[in-house]
Amino acid sequence: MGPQHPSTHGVFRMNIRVDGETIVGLKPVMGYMHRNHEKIGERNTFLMNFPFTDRLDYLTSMGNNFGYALAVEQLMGDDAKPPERAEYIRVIMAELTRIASHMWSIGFLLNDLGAFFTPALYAIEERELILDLFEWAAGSRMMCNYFRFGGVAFDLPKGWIERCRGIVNDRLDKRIDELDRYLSENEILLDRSKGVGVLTPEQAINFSTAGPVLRASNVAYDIRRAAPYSIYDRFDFSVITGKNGDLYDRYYVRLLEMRESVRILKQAVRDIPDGPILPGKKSYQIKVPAGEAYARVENPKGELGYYVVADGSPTAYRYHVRSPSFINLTALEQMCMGHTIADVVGILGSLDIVLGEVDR
Amino acid sequence: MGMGQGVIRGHLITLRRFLLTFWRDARTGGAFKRRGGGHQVLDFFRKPGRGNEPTVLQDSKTDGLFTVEYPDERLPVYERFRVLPVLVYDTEDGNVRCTSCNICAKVCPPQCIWMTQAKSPKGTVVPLPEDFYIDMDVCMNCGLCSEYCPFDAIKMDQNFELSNYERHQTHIYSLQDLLVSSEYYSKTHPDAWQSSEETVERGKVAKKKDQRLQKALGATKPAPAAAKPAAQPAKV
Repeated sequence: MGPQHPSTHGVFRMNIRVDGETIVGLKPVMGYMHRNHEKIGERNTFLMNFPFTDRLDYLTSMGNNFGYALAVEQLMGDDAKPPERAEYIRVIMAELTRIASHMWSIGFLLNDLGAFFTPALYAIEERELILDLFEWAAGSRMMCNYFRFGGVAFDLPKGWIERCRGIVNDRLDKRIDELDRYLSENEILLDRSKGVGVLTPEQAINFSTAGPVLRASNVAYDIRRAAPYSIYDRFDFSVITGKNGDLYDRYYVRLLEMRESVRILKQAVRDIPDGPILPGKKSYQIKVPAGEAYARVENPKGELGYYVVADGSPTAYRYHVRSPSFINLTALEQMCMGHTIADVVGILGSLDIVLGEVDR
Repeated sequence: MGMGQGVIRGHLITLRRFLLTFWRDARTGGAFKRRGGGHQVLDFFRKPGRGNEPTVLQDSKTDGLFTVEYPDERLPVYERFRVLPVLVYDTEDGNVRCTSCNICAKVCPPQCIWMTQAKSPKGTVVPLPEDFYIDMDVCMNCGLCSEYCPFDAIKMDQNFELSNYERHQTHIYSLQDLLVSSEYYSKTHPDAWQSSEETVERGKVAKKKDQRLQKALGATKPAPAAAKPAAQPAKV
């Protein structure tokens, strides 16, 4: 089954064994991107790797930056302790990213289910506003390259936080409500998604899935709660879980997670302090002591981890990415078994993969 | 909920969007007019002049559909918006700020910058670039070069309309293609230009550069690359 999702052009296909219309075996075939992200990460100096992390999952570049910054900061220790304001900016950016990514994923799940583009266009509108904010603060809509070790690259421009407050406080909730009204009780969506692609909690854990795929299977595991990083322990939000682990739950968990992100954002834009955004002076020569570190963040797609081994030289000795899209894909066969060809597309859409991250 | 109600509700939301869009256009007087065009009936077929397109800002209060009819309308260009790097020369004296210290080439992640340092006829090093190349096809617009340039010489340009008929020689930008005046930079980046850091930096660098140039020029005359940009500035 050839390229199905718009983002899988040429780099992903599924080898499906069918009995009539029913799936009896499925093997995802990927690996034609050959981008060599991890090897390039070992050639690059630590700083130079930031723009490359943007390109892993290009819908969540701020989150990717976040994980990498945390991993190297863990090695650098107190030299790279982010000041308060930087921590808040990081959280705001990461949560905005989550909303943008979930909007996109919901829109495209519906696209995969055959609702060609109306839901996707509605969802993308809010994403546009968020990307405008990114462009204003970081200089780019998708390849943000905004985080630095110990802080962020630039302070927020004048007027940024006001517009962000406007969007977060007055707009996003209404728009998520509208999406909810528009989709959640739509009979066609219910028919196509209820009971399709079920993953039991045990299976979800055994496949080591993460993010909305895991939480839809009723496992309340969120790294922001399980191992709080940055300043997430200060915010009041709840971990969303689904009941049945089917396609509908994965859709609905994402929708509810956006509400929780808005909740975090409201607290963050209320409390953001003034102050510096980097602990020291900006320097392109970063001294990272020898050692190894693994840091992980709850990216919109799941647990994104960076494993960095430093040997005291300007480049990493080993650099590895634990990418959620790739690992969530392992559960694809399990979810598709017994369903029909038409369901496969929806199930793949509910995993919300980005191929830049699957084949690094 | 009875069968079909969810679908009907969905259609009502779509209808609401549709009406909101027309209501917004009627409210702003744009309902029967080509966006970006004038007020007369025939203006429907007229395009705005290049550079005079209205800018559409979408914020938290925008309702209805989000369509910006580029190129008749444009999105705002934010100051930090970055596309490709440029090299700044000072408008007053025509001196290139770059000292060819190579730091931009060192921090460039895809390694698309390379340069040759200017030499005097005697063979001593002159702190100016003899030539400076950026391969635009390789550049990933990350902005690290401009962020870490110690002399404020390399900056990110905002020009994103870069279509071209040829993709080999013309995509390797050399010094002449890259140079822009500090006047141009101050127009595209007003906030950064006026910020205290850049003002202080400018003063410091001007002083340093002056000493350096005096020294280099005192040794040999004329310094080859220093005169070039003043004679034929690439973009103003």
